[in-house]
Amino acid sequence: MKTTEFTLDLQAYVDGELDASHRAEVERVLASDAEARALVEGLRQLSELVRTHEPLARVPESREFYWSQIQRRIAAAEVAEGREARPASGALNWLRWLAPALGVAAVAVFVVLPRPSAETTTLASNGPVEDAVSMTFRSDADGVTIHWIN
Amino acid sequence: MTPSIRVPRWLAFLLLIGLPVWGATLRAAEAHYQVQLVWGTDDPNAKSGDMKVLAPEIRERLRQLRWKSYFVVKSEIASIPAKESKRVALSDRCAVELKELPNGHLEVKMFSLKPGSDSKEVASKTMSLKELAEGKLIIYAGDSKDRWDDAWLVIVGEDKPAAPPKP
Repeated sequence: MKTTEFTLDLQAYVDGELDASHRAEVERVLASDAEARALVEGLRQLSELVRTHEPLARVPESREFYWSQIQRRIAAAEVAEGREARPASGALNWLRWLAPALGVAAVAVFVVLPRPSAETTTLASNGPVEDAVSMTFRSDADGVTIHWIN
Repeated sequence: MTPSIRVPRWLAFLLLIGLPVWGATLRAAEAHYQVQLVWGTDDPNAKSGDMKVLAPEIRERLRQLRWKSYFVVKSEIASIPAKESKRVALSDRCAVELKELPNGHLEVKMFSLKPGSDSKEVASKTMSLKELAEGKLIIYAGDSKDRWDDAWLVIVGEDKPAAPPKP
C-alpha cells in the first residue's frame, strides 16, 4: 500500500503541479505499479467529472460594477477612435479650426460692417468713422431728417 | 459814317433761341441748395440785429424740437457744379460741404473749424436728390456751447424748398 505522501504526489501529478524530477519519479513508479495507475486513472476521472458538471457560481454584479464597465467601454472606444482619427487629422488638422474661425469671422463682419437701418430708405451712407452724430430723427410728415451731434 | 454790322437772320435766330437754352442748360448743370445756420432758443428776441426769424414754413417743420424761437444766423445759396463739391463756411467754427453723388444722393459733410488747425470732419450724411426735390430737409443740430439750453442747427434743402409733403 502506498503511503499518504505518495498518494498526494499522485494527486499533484494528475493536477500537473509536480516539477520535472518529481514527475519523472512518479511516472517511474506508475510504470511498475498497477494500483497506483488505477488510482491516477480514478483521480483523472474525478477531476473530469468535477470540471464538467460542477455548477458555476456567479457573483452578482453590483450597480457600481455595472456602470464602471460601461465607463471603461466608453473610454476604450474613445481611445480607439482617437487612434483611428489621428492619421486623417494630422493631414487636415486645420479643418477642425476652420468652422470656429469662420464663425468668429462672420461675427466680426457682422459687427464691423455698417448695417442697414430704418434710415436706409432715405440715407445712403452713415459717414466717416468719427461720425459725431449720436441720434437721428426723421419725420416724414414734416419732411425733415435731423442728425443730432454731441 | 458809322459802319453797320449786318447779322445774318439765321444767326440772329439761332442766338435768339440758343442763348436762353444754353443758359438754362448751364443752370441745370448746377444744383442749388440753401444752407442756413440757425440758432434755437427760448428767448423771444435775437441776440443780434442781423439775425432774422426763420421762415415760418420751415419753423413749422421743426415742431418736434422744443425751442420757442429760431433765428437765422447765416444763409447761403450753394451752387454745386456737377461732380464737384462746394464748401460753405457758416461761422468761424463750422462749415458744410455739399456734393451730389453718382448714386443720386446729396452728401452733406459737417466740419469743425478751429483757428490755426485743419478742419475736422465730424459727420457725413446723405439724402436722395428725389427727396430733396420734394422739399425735404437734411438738418444737423446740437447743443450750443456758448449758451446753456440753446441749440444750433444747420438746415440744408433745395433752393426755395417746396411746401412740406402732406402725410
